[in-house]
Parts: sequence; structure tokens; C-alpha cells
Amino acid sequence: MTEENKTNNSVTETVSIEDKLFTINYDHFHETHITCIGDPKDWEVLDPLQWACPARVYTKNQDTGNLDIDFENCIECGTCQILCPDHILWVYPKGGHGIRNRCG
Amino acid sequence: MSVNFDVIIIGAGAAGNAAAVTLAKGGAKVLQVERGKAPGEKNLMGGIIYSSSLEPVVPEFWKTAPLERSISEQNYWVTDRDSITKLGYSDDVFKAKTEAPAHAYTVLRSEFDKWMSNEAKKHGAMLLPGTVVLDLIVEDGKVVGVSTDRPNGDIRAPLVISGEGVNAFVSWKRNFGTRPKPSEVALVVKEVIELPKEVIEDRFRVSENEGASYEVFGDITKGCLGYAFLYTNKTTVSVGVGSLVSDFAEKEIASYELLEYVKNHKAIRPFLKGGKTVEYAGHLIPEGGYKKLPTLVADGFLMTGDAALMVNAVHREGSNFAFVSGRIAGEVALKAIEKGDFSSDCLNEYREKLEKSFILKDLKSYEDVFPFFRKRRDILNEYPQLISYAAKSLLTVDGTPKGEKKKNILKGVLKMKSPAKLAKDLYNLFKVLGK
Repeated sequence: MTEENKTNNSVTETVSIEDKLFTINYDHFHETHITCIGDPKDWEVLDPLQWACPARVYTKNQDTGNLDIDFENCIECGTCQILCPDHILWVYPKGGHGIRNRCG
Repeated sequence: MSVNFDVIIIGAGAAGNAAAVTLAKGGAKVLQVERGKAPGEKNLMGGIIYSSSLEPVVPEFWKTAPLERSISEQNYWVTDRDSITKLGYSDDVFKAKTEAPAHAYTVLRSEFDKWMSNEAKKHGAMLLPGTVVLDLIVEDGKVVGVSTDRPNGDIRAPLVISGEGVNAFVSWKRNFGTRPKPSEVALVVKEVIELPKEVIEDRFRVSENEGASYEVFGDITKGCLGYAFLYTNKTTVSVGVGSLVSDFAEKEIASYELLEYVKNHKAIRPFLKGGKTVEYAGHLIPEGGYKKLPTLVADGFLMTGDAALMVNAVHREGSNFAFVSGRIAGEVALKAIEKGDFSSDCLNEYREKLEKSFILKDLKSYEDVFPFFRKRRDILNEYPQLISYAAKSLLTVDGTPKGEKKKNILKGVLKMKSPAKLAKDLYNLFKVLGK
């Protein structure tokens, strides 16, 4: 959060993204449904994924500089393939797997 | 599969279920393919459904559907950094009567979609869950079935209806519509937060089974084009925020952090105090509108709901359009089955009926709204400030005579916006919204 966005509402019970994802019911398939089909170091294109993905699936590996993909976080919105269709091949997880919303 | 189906429906969401119920009731042999282990598990919305669109699909739905609360009060708030300007409307007309449903209800899609899919099953539709449709089977330019991720997973039928949802991969693959641009899709993140029933009824000042909706604009989205929402369920509330995918990417604001900002904003926070997050979720909304409408009809193929961009996001009508487009697709499909004619000429009645319905009329009249706000996002940032400034000046009692105050407000407003600019903005707003 930037300086300008500072608020006068003190955040006392922040629910982190890790805690948010912990509330989700998953039934993971053992194979990933997300593949990087472009240059995994092309950060000019890949950078927005770090912001726009609502499940923090995409991070930069600090050692290799490559894109790391944590498919088990995925909440199946599809934002990544809208943003980077030439770099990210995102398909639906195998039938019956992935998120299982209890509320929706 | 050895059964001969009249129609295959891709997806058991709002659109797919409306089509399935309509077709099964009409006696068609329906197969519905759903990627979730059970219908609803992949689906998400704010979410509010409208009785006028569901009642024609499932008469007296309100007697059996898992509804949360009827919405008898709707609120629209505009926030500035320090202030909130509130507009609300409640009306007894919105309430449920003894023999009639309420105007609108909150629902949780996981339970709701299961219920609606069961309605289709009750009338004889067959459901194939846990199955992803991978492609359409096309022969001689006609859609004649689907291939799935099951072993030997090809299934044939003379008609396929897509209720795939916003990520309509199967349709896109065959050039029935294209993947939208980041500026044509909104990402919505949401939490369902548990609160005791009595606390909800006290805080929102609603009686049992009744509820309220809040849509909050202005500073609360940190300059992202969109709004925050808060809806009451039975023993939970749904709180969320949505904006264009391109905005999250360009402004480098993480959606889940914006959601935390919303939850802790002074407009929302008092409602949530002491609540416990029971589920986080995210989903896309297609906002391409009328200008981007895909091919709705092809030989052996119809597109419905989000897959067909049937969304009016300004009025939170996605599932509403999905029910209507799914039902109309089902009605047209029944006629095609009776005639044994699945050509696009015969199926084109679907498009004609949509053009005559409020759906395409609405989409057409709103076609300039999104492009306008995408270009003129300053309007959503600056005008809340103007509203706040005017309200604050008028409502602050400080010994200044009211006449002088009003003059000062006008002066102040004109200092922020020149009369020419103000007139032009108001004219443009009127032009795009008044259509």
C-alpha cells in the first residue's frame, strides 16, 4: 500500500492472503493446470500477474529470477490468461478437482 | 454413452440450469456437463437474484429454493477520504407477500445452483458432474457434440448450448467469441463473513428473513474503476470489491489487499465487527457489453449467460440475464427439437427473442457506459469529492448565513470544475446513462 493510500481506519484484524486461501475447500489434482508457455523471465509482461492474481499463484523466484507458479493456490478465476494469454496457459483443473466452494 | 440426447448443455450455472430446466420440462432429452463435483462448487456471485427472471423458469421457486434474505432496502454510498454521502431506498413493494415472492433475494451459489440443477433432474435432465468439456465436435460446419476429459469422452447431440461462464474456452476455441481484453473484464474478490443472525438484523435494521444491499463508490476502491458491495445473508454477510483486471494490473493494487481496505473502511467496518471469514473467493465478470457480443447462434450451437457476455454490471445483473437467456435458449431449442431443424436459420429465433427482450435492449442502451467511464475515470474520482464538499459546506453549522453558504458552494464547485467542463460532463453523463 502506497503512502497516498494510507487510511485513517486502523487495520486491526487483517486477514492475510494466506489466511484467506486457508478458508477455501480444495480437492487438488496431482498435476498442474497452469503452464508458463512464454519466457519465464519476461517480467515486463509477467509482472502484473503478481498484482492481479487474487490468490498469489504467481511470484518471482528470488534465486533464479524465474516465474514460480503455485497452482495449488489457484481459485480458478482466469485473470492470468486474460492478462498474459501468450505466456500463461491456464486451463480448468481436471473434472471434479480444484476449488469446491461451500458458499460461493 | 448409449443414450441419444437431444441437447448437451455445457455448465450447470445460472444460464445452463435455466436452459436445462426449460428443456427437461418440455420433454427434451437433456445432458448437462458440469466440471464441478457437484453443481455450484465452481460458481460465485455477489449475489442477488431477481424473482421476475427466475419465476418463469421455476414457478414458485421461493417456496423451495435456498434463499438467504429478501432485499427490501438498497443503499448507494459515495465515499470521499473523510466522508460518506448516503442514498438509500426501501419500499414495502420489495417485500415478500403471502402468495408472491419478494422482488429480489440474496443467495449463496453453491447451495442455490445445486437446488436449481435438482429442479432440472426432477424433470428428467441427466447430469454428468466432475467433467470438463474440452472442445466442440464440429462436422461439416455443424456442432454435433462435445469432447470431454473422461476416457472415451466424446458425447454427441444435434444441439449444444454453452453455459460455460466467463472463461468460455470451448466457444473461443471455435471462434464463437474471443478472449476479452483486461479492460473488458472485472475481477471481483469476496469474503463471506459469519455473524449471529440477531447481530445482522440489529446492525442492518432488518427484520427476520429480510435484508439490505449496499453498493459503495468513490475512495473505497482507491481509484480503481468499480465498487464495493455488502449484502446480507441469513447468518453471514457477503462483502466484496470489483474492478477491471487492467486496473489491478496497472495500479499495482492487489485485489485481496483492496478487499482488506474495503473491510476496514469506515463505511463497512462497523457492519463486520466481530465477524469471522468463512470463505474467500474470486471470479471474473465479462463487461465487454453489446459491442463485443459474440456469435450467439451457429449451426447446432447456442451461447448463453456470461459466455455470451450477457451482463449489465452497472445494475449487478449477471445471473438475472443468465436466467433469461438460458430460458429463451431452452424455449427455442424445444422448437428446434420438435422440427428436427438445428440450423442457425432455425435457431436464430434465439437472437431475435433476445433483441426483443430487456436483455439486449439494456445491453444496447448501456453500450457506451463502460467505454465512457474507462476513458473518463476522473469522473468517479472527482465527483465524489464535489458531492462531499457540497454536503459538508451546507451541513456544517458555523454561523455563516445559508445564502452565503450556497454561493460559496457554487463558487467552490466551479473552482474545482469550470462551468464549461461541468456542463460538458453532465451532458455526457446524461447522454450515456439516459439512453
